Amino acid sequence: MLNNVVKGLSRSMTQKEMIHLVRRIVPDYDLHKRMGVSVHNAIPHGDGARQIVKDMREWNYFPDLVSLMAQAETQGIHGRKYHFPRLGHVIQLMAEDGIIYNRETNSFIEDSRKSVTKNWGVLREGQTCTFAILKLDLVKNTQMVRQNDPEIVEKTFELIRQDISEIINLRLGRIWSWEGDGAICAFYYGTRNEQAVYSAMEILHRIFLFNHFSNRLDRPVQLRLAIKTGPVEFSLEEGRIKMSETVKETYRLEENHTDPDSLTISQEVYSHLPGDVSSGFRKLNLVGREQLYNYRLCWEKET
Amino acid sequence: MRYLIFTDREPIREFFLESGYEKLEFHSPDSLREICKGIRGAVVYLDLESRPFEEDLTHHLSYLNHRSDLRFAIVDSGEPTEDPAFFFHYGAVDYISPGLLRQGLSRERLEQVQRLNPIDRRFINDGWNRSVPYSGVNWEGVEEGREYLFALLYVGLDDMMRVQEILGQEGAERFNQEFRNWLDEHMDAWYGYQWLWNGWGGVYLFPFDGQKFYAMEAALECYLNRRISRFSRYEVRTTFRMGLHLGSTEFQKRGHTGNIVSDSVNTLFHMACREGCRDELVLSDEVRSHIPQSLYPYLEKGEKFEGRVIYRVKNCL
Repeated sequence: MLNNVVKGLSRSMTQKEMIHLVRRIVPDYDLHKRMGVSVHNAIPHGDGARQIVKDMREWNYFPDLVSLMAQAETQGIHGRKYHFPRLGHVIQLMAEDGIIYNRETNSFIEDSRKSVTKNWGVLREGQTCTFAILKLDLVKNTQMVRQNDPEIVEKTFELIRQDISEIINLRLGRIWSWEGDGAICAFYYGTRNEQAVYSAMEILHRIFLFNHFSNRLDRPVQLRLAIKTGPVEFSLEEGRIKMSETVKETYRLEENHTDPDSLTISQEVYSHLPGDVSSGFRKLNLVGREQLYNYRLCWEKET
Repeated sequence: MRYLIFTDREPIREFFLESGYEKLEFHSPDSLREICKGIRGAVVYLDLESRPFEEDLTHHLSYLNHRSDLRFAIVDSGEPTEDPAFFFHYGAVDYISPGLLRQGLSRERLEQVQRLNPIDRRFINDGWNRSVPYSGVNWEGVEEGREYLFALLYVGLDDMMRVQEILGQEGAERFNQEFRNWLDEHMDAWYGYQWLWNGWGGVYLFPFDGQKFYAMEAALECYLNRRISRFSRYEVRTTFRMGLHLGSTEFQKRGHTGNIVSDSVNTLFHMACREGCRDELVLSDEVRSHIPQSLYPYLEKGEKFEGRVIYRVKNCL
């Protein structure tokens, strides 16, 4: 697989073009320095390509390099399209290893049938990206716990957690943390804001059905959900993620501006929704400049 | 109407027998589900002091609340319950307090319970031919060539003339296929089987055991999510309609259904394909009688169609 990428690069690009390409991933990449060669000396073309691929591999940027090459083939770079022989074969081999290429988003992502990890198999510790963050909280009051068999309460919440995970994963989201009865979920790929909102709405609908068809507790299960988009420095440590302003803000929306059985979203998230979905949200009356929108299952004649 | 009393205590048995009512049956509390499984159109009394009900009461109340073809009531012989309304919130139709247990039970009271809480006559008479069995909780026992009671769900695309104009014949067929694939993914999770497909719509069969109503959950979830599903983001926007009915039909696998003649399937098509049902989920009277009563506020009674009342799920979002 690595040889195919080395050959593809060296046959289709000049050394200058290769360096330009790789600096889109590592802005200060210095090929001469990496190879221990003076800037005044020329580097054999094939050796340069091999060093680049080796470095990308070692620094866990290999999927980024292949996706840039795919982009150079389909959309072109600096107005020029390139053709890399056997690039399709490389993508196929990566898919067999559990990393699949999404042409729409021009990025690699883990095959969720094989594994589901917090970083989609590709994000690196410390990498800052824009995410749509979904915070949800199961409203579990003390009366519910006191008046129901603890085993049934726990079983109910376990079933709901399973349903939530299924919905989030199907929309390419990831659950970053479950703490008590709340969760932080992130959406990064594709239309992340829409996917986060659709997941949250689907979860509310699933809970509605659960309450009518399967709930064994003496009262309905209720959730509060909130979504905000913004930059977050990715980390596998939950504590660090919670330090992010975007995550803190999402907590604030959920805790201060969301009633049970409803979803609150920020203005920016709202602006990404198509009209037939955004029309189901109502603007919250807030003091100040902040604009928030709220969704709950609203039946005709009930509004 | 039959009265089924689930108790393991002799004083409770005597209390009911004193009423002189003829159709009383006494069963062990452990056999609640087993006995109720084969019965429609009866009033069930639960003796709260019996062990199974003491241990997992809400579970049993929830089960009975979902059985639209039964009514249930409570016998409370211990410490009087602080909040008897709790039982009525679950759909109970009578509450026999410790005080009434001391006074005795009259035949009139039992008859009044029945009179005030009638059960649809179809359930008392069964409505369906008794020789047709339920298809079951899943597909395990269903054999080709035999007739069963199924939940039948019609799903059909609206506005396909417009879609054809925009995408052309080939594009419209591809669109139709994507729609079917999306439906299959959704229905499969609820044991739904794409049984017939003709043009722009078709019928899913769901096994039905008289209790677990997967088809209703599947249809309602599809309806609630229709604006946010993958289907709603296809290249052309259109809507789809659904109709749900309970009825009997012979089972044959998809592609071998040409010779099947079924009133239930005809009813379903006529019910769901009427003018004005665009983007709607409609239910037959039989379906309504089997869904949890807590869903009734979300239904709107429509006009009668072929002698049958049709209900429409109210619009949302």
